[in-house]
Amino acid sequence: MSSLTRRAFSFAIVTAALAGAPFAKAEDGPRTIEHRLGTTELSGKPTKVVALEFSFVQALDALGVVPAGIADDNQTKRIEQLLGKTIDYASVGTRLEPNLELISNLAPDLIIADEIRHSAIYQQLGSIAPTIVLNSWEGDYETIKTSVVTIADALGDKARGEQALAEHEARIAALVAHIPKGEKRRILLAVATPDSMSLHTSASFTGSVFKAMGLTPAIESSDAVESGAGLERLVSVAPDILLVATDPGGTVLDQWQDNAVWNAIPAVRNKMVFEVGRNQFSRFRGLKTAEMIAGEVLAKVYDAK
Amino acid sequence: MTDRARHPVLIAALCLLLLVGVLIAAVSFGASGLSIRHALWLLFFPDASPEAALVWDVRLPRAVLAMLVGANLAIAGVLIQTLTRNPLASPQTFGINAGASLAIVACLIAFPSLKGSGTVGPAFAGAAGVGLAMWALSVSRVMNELKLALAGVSIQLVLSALVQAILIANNAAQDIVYWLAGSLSAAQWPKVWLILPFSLIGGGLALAGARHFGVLALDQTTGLSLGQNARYTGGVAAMLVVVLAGSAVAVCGPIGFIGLLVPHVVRRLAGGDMAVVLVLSAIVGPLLLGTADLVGRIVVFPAEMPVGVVTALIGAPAFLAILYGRRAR
Amino acid sequence: MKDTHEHHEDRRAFVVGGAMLLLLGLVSLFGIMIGAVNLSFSQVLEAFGGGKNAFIVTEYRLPRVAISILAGAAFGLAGVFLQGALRNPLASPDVVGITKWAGLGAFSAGLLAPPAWSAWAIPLGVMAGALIGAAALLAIGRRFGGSTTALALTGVALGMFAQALIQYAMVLFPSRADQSMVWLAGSVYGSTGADVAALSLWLLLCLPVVVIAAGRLDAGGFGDDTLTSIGLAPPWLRGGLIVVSVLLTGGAVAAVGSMGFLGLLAPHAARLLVGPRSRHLVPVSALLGALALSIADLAGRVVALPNEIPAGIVAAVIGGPYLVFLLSKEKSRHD
Repeated sequence: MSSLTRRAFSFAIVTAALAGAPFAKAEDGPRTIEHRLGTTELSGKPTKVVALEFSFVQALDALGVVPAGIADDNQTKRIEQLLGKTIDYASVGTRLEPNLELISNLAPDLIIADEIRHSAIYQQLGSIAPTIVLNSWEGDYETIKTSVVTIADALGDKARGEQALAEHEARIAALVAHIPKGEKRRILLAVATPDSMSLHTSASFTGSVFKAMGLTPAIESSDAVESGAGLERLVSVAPDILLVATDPGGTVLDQWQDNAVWNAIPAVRNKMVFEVGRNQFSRFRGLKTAEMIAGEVLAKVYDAK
Repeated sequence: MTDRARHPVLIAALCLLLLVGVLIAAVSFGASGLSIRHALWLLFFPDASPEAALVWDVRLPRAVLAMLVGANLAIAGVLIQTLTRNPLASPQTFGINAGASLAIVACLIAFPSLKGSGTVGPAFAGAAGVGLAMWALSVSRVMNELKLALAGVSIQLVLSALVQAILIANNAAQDIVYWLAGSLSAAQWPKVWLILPFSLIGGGLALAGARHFGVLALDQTTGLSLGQNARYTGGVAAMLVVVLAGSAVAVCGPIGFIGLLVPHVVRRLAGGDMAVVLVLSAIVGPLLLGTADLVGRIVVFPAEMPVGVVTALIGAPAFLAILYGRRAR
Repeated sequence: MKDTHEHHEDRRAFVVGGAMLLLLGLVSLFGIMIGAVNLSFSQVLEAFGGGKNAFIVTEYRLPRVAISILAGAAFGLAGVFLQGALRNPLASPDVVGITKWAGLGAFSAGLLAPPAWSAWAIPLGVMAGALIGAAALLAIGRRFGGSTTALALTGVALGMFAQALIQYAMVLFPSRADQSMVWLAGSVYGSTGADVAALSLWLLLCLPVVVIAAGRLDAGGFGDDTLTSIGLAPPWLRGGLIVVSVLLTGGAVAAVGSMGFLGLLAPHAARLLVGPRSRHLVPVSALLGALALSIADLAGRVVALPNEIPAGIVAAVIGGPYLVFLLSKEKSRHD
């Protein structure tokens, strides 16, 4: 999709949402939700929702729903960071192997699961409660945006999802307006691990957010992440703007900065290297995260507030 | 006898020549669009350009590190096969690499700020823990060779399971898969300085003690009459294995097959004299690992295949060939 | 004299087997009662009739318990036949690389087939991988003259080859590394009634060959010359035992992942308990395998609530030190 048609498309959504919202009739009758593993029948307005990935929690938050259960990897702090506030929910274990006993005990009326991680337990989830399966783990920006509407539809309030999306796009558009015309610099997010970096390409969530902002990701690829990249690879990618996502504590970044070759990277020469939080830039995905990424890029690269 | 004495020198010279070739190839080939001629020129006549820095600060340390790690693992392999009188023994199959990996992974998760030289301590501790257990089992004579090998394999299984458990529990698998496969892609001069003293001291002591270790290679009944002395020698050899293998794992993860394969190759090339085997292993190990790393950088260019994967893919068929050769003799 | 000795052995095996069965029943009962949500015995009975806990009991715990028993038994049997075929206590489906080839098959299927197909593509890949690995093992092993040690060593090398390719696949797709590791370690998490049915059917199909193999197992302990003299062709006997082992391993790996440790552990412990005669060794190995996996799953489910530790990891962690202990124990037994 070219950026022109995309803009036209989002404009259409905005007008549709603004025009349609006040008159939208209650959509809590029986409806069929299409998702990655087929279709699921739903009726009424689910209120006890279990979210098995971070992005779903953010989507639910945007729709004004507090999940009853979250597969939070037992890290309540991450959920706080994800939403920017504290919510009351029950942990149902890890995203990798959520505890089905606890989920069943919550007696939810909707479960939102991830295609990559939870395909194998789809049937069991389905016998606990209606389950929809979306792509979060390897989802790009467009996928995540579509998911918000799908989740809203599942909650019986599709219009609210479209409205949330429209508001989000308006906020992004306002941020993007600060970017000077004709920006040609190539931007890269590299995630620092203990001894190498993972380079996020145009197909990754962050990369597709950059693209939506009108920036050029330094690596154009259909694979989301290029992992195990050494210093030489980073030099040959030669990004003009480099965001390095780090966890607290030491990473390979400290070692690489001491190497003479580090200075051969254009971003280093132009003083366009910024350290960012790894949770926000590579673990979370969602509308709020996209806004946060856009905001931080503007603040750091363009000094815009 | 004279015939035997001449061969090793010839072989060593040949291998050294090949080693230089691999070193030059490693330095002149890479992901960035630097021409091979230019890279070679910069190797001998460096200037202040970024390209020169690339050759000198990224590619050269990597090549040198491959040499040191290769030598460490090969010598450790010779020692452990001698110590246990087991042709299947190696730092990898006896769980010593896995012990070091477990300790490093555990420390990296518990103390993320640990970096560079901080991993050496845990690596030694882990390698020593397993090494000590294996040595105690071997000295106590509770087990014959086969059972000892079984114990080693089982220890390795348990340790790998623990590494997996830690990674799964912390969602950290994706950060560490590269290191866990055994990779040189993070090579830098500080890592070279880190392993160099251990390589020099470990390798030097192994060579100095070659005659004593040779005694261990004799069969059990002969070794028995040597009594305490043999135990002492065995202890030193075990310690050297820990230092050599542990430091190798600390800088580039658990790389397999070098320690298993090189002693067999060398023994086939130059017979069973301990000193000769050790010296040649210190040349053939680097040659093999350097070549493997080069292959890993070329086959899926511009991405990289971890060198540990390459050594296993080359090593497994080579090991089968050795088996076949033994049958023929 | 000889008869009473044999009689004594039979009785011992019977007692051990009975105790194992009882223990297995107890562990299974606990497996259904305790977990993140603890249920009383009467609550469990109620759940069979439906209600709030019906999902936990009938759809979550029961399939898990059943699959632990079936897969554990399959691993135990596979280990017994392989060790018998290779006359080598080092041999287990894991050590000679069969589980690793099965794992490689699963990875290839998982990467090539879309996620929606994985339900049948992965078991298919597992079987294909295990059979390719075994075929390579037998083909290459034969060229080495078919000696059992050479065969075991060939398996070790082939297994490491497969392992390297698996590692490369994990490096290529790091975002799925966590999942891959759980599968590689082996886990009965998320087993369904359909999984139980599939594995039961597979094991039932394997049953005739298992019975035949068990009858020939004692002969596997003889040297090649003896075998020839009593009219059995050594390559066929060993090849046959290996194929049975591969079929069992493939089924179990498809159900619970490439769990490696049980095939090594169960036959060992069984040999210590009831001696090397196949009619004692085979059933007790199966029981021990089932018991070990059941205990491992139960422990993995409750020690780190609400998180789960994959059963394969628990099995390795408990089983490893135990194996070393067994090894040193065996020596004193033979003295």
